[in-house]
Amino acid sequence: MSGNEDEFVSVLNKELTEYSEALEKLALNIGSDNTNESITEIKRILHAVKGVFGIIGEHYEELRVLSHKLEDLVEEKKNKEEITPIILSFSDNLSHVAKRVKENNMLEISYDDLFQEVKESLGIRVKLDQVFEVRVKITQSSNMKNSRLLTVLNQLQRLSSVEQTIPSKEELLGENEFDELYCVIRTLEDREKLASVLSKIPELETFAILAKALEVDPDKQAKEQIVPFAKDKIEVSLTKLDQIISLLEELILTENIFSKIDYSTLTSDEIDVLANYSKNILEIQDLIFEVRKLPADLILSKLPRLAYELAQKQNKKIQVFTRGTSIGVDRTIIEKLMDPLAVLVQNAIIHGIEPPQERKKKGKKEVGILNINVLQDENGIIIEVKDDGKGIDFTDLWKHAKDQELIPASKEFNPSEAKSFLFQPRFTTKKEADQYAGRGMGLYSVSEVIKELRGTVDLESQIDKGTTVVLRIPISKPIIPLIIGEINGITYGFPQTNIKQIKRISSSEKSQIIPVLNDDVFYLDGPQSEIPIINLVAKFSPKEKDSTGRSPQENAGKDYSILFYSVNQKEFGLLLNSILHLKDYPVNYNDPVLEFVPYSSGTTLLNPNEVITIINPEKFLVILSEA
Amino acid sequence: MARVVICDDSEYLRLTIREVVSHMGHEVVGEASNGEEAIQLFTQLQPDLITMDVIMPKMNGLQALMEILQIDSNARVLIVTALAHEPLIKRALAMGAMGFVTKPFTSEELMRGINSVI
Repeated sequence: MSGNEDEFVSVLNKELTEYSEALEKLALNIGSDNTNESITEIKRILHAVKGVFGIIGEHYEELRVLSHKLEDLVEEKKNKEEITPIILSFSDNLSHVAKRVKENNMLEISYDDLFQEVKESLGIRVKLDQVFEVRVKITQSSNMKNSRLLTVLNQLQRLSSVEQTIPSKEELLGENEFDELYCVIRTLEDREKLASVLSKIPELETFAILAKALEVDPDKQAKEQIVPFAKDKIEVSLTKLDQIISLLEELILTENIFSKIDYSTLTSDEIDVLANYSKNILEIQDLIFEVRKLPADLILSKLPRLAYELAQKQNKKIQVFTRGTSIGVDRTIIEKLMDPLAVLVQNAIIHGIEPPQERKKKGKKEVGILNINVLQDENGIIIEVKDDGKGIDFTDLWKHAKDQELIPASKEFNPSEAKSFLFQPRFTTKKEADQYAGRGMGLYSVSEVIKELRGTVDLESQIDKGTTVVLRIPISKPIIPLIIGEINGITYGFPQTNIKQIKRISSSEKSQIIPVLNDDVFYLDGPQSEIPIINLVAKFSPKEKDSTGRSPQENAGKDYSILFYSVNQKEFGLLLNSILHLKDYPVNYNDPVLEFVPYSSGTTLLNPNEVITIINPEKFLVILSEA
Repeated sequence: MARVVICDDSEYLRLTIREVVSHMGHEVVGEASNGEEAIQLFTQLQPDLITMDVIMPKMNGLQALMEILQIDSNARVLIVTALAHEPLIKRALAMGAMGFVTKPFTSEELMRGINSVI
């Protein structure tokens, strides 16, 4: 193995892991697949695995043979469902091999302890295949020597992989007559078996089978290539990515020094440059968060296996469908969601899906259906876990709640309160806890994690129709760049995104503003005369409805600032009294205060004692279209 | 004991082959007089072995062989045809027939031919 060994190790690890994952997915599909497609695909992957082990060299020979045998087993098994556990076990062990390849010298790893179950199912002690040289001679009396040699070749091909023949098959099919054949074959069969087959072929005068020493065939190695990466993707280690992120966070922190600058001393151009600078940094941060996303498949792919194994133990039949596997979810969220989803799947199988006989009685299909869907909307991601089991009897829950003295015995049934018991710790309808359920921590733990992610949990259930749990997790936009400005003595935040230009109106220009200050919308003279400017100073004035009462002197000698926005291809300006500073703040979009503040989109903590409103420029589009 | 389907357009030859097959202790589960019937019986009965004549009406043995191997690449087909048809035998072997017996054959030859492929 010349060249960059690390690269070989990393590609091998990646490839074996991919095969292992694909096999697991397919194995779980076998039961529900009527077309045999899963089986075909399993065989294809086993074949590929065999190829990979074959190419690494002798150290992996045993695994190559094992994959080969398994391929045959899959081919032969009539009862397809028997294949699932064997392939699952193979897939697990394969992923162990992948890990060991990465952690140790790939040519020295030990795997003797692995694949025990697979070997048992194969009912064999795995032995290495052997290379034999076979020579046969046809009797001189034969009328069709070439055809007879062809039958020898065909027979050998059924028992082995024929690696070399002299003469070649093509030559035997041609005009020239041959009476001898020499082959090199690789086979799992022993010499006796080969001899017994050859001895039955008519018109053979002699045959010989000789063991040949194994040697690595350099040609074969060159022919098969390691699958290259997709050209528009590269692999980046997560540690490096995290390093980049933390460097950027430092950059953002130092950038906050700008907030200490006295903006009244800066020109409009200088403010522009600073605004652009921080906007760019935040864009990079956005991009990094995009890169940090992993496909939802990472969690989804583990759930069918979990469901399958639980269902087996419970003697239930289950089929799992997952959707939205390619939706990107932030890595930290993915990690946190694993446990809650496992709990929900567990609940669905233990409490939801009925045993097959019971389902039959109810007129349902014996196989229970579990749907796990990941969806995305503008607020975040939504995960649904939906079973078609027996549903939750809320009146029964109510009774349990009374038994556990959570509510007074006299209290009347209330469905939504009954539902809330499900999310309380230590509430259970099972009399005894077992390995899987009954400790009453399930949904409570789910709701705790989701709360931490600032999300919500909803549960819908209908008796005998099933239960659906919906998790909603908001996209976390941790920080957005703001311009902090002041209007009539009150501080507001304005998003920097979409700002085209910031203009300060100096005292010398005030004459042109003052006459129009009492209007909601006005226009400047000069190059920007087309752009409507919304007069927030008047609009947000405490005496808004009585703006005629404002004396011109109040505004005399003051500067104003205008933020020029371009939103949805519409340009407009917002007039403020002054800009205080630029800074990036974490935004809370769910503050209940927001309902009472017009034109707002969120709030942020300016300092520990001061909450300010963040203005949503988009909301002014309505005013402009009315004007 | 193997389950055998015999395909030959001559009733006399079918009878002869059947006698030999039964004598060997195998079971003749079906008989076809052309390639089409052979394919049909193969799919229906999934025999362990088909003896296949090459020159037959409707569909010849080579076409039938090809379709049978498409249905099951592990099918065992023994070509039974006249010596004069060597090019056809070669083609059949190239396609994946397991063995051949040339007509006229002695029962000994046929037995060896059958034994070599099952």
